[in-house]
This record gives sequence, structure tokens and C-alpha cells, in this order.
Amino acid sequence: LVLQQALLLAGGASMEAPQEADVDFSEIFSMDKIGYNARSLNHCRVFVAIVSGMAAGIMGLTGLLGFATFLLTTCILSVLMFFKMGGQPKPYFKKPEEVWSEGVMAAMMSYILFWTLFYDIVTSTDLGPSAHPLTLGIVSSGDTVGEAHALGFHLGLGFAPASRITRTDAAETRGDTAAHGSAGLPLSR
Amino acid sequence: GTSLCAEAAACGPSMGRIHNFTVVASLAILIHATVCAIQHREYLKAVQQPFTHPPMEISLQCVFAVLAGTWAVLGQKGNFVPIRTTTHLAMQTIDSLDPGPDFIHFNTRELADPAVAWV
Repeated sequence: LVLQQALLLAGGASMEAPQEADVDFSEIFSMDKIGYNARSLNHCRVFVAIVSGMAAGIMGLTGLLGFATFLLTTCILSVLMFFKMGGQPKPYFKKPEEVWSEGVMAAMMSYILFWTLFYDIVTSTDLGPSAHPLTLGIVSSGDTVGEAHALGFHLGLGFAPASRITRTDAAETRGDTAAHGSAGLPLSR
Repeated sequence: GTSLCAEAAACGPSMGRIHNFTVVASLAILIHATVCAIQHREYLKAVQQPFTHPPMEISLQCVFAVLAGTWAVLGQKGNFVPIRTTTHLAMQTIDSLDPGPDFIHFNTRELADPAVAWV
């Protein structure tokens, strides 16, 4: 053990005693490698969450079915990672079970964001000739004025709902956002 | 065993390019599916039918884009390294530990009788 420590100092690797009580204390972790793995894992999980969130929104999934697709795609990613590591996740994580669960909660936020965004885009976008030129065609039909107001205003995307009654310019409609509830968003169903 | 693109570095930059292209392609396919879905909903509004399920081609596009994007991002950024220093240390040989005979000097001490120096 003394020789190993001398080699570590010579090699320049940083040492970190593990904090958890159930981790083997004879192991020495390299913090920069842990950080590298965490960044790679986070990148993969967030990208898969974004892509599957877009797919769920496009296909019009709502409620529990949407969360089920998130869990399914997360499991698919974990299985692919497991096989990319040759079936041995132990060298790459502090505990081998972390290959299934690490980074999932952070990815869930991205999933929900893109899920609701694309659900709203697909549900309430009018590409027809009634599109207002200032909004590049992303306007909502009359039924969903309120939710487009709320969603567009909060997301800062410049959604300008074109109601059946009036068709005003983008700045004016953004100015008087009504406090409509998000009844049309998928999470409430 | 490891998957096909586990050694992406060994395969060279071509595999990296395939992964990059597939990542961008999956996002492009999803954007295309968005436009298709919007047109489908407009069609349903025109014929006044309720939305029940997306058409098969949109579903296939979405599923394919998700699977392709998952595979591509793993090939692109899924290069994990072992975090335990014992893994690295176990691969070292004795040659790396001992500097070897490079620094062994001979004949460094002056002898009392120089006549026997090079015997």
C-alpha cells in the first residue's frame, strides 16, 4: 500500500477517500475520472431525454403514458450502456447498480420540458394561410388561446395567438397575457 | 464482449463521423415528424375528426429517431473510463517501477591503489 501511494504521488493522480460507509475502503477513486464519467453520462441521458421528449410530444402522449416512455427510453439507454461496458459496470461506477439510476432525475426535467413543448407545438400550431407574418407561422387556433398565451409568454418564444375574433400583432397580444390555466398541457390529464 | 463501436478510437474518425451525423439526423427526423404531425392535425380539424392516435409513419419516424439517437450519442460520448486507480496500477509492470540500470554508475569511488582500478 505504501508503494501504491508513492506511485500515485508520482503519477499525479488525485486521491479521494470514498464517503459512503458501504463502499470498500481499500479502493482509491480518481476524482477527475469520476467527473469525466459523470459528464459523459449526463450528456447521454439528457440527449436521450430530449429526443424521447420530442417523440412523446409529437405522438401526442399524455399523462402516465408519457412518463412510461421516459422510463422505457431511460432503461434502453441503461441497457445499451451496460453492454457497451462489456457487462461489467463495476470499474466505471462507485457501485455497479448506479449504471441503471445515475443521472435519471436531471434528465427527467429535460424530458418534461421538451415533451410539453412539442405537445403544444403539434397540438396548437396553424401552418395555414392565416399565419401572422411576424410569428413565422407558429400561431395557435382559437380554442387554445389561453394555453398558447401562457406557454408562449413563459417560454419567451413570441407565440402570438390568432383568435377567431381579432388578429393583432405580436407585441400587443404578448402584452395582455390572460391568466389562463394550463388545461391543455399534457401533464394535467 | 464489447459492442461494435466500443473501440471508436480504434476504428478511427470514420465512426465518430457516423455518430455525429446520426445525432444530427435523428433531430432532423424529429423536426420532420413534427411538421408531419402538425399537418395531420390540420387535416383532422378539416374533416372534423377527433385525434385518437398518430398515423403509422409518424410513429415509425419517432421510434426510429429515438433509437438511432440513443445509439449515436452513446458512440459519441459514451466513452467511460475506470474510476479506480487500482485498475490502472494493476496494469503496470516492474519496468515502470524501477528506473532500471540506466542510472547505475560504476567506478565511482576512488581506489586507494589506482593500479588495480581496471582489473
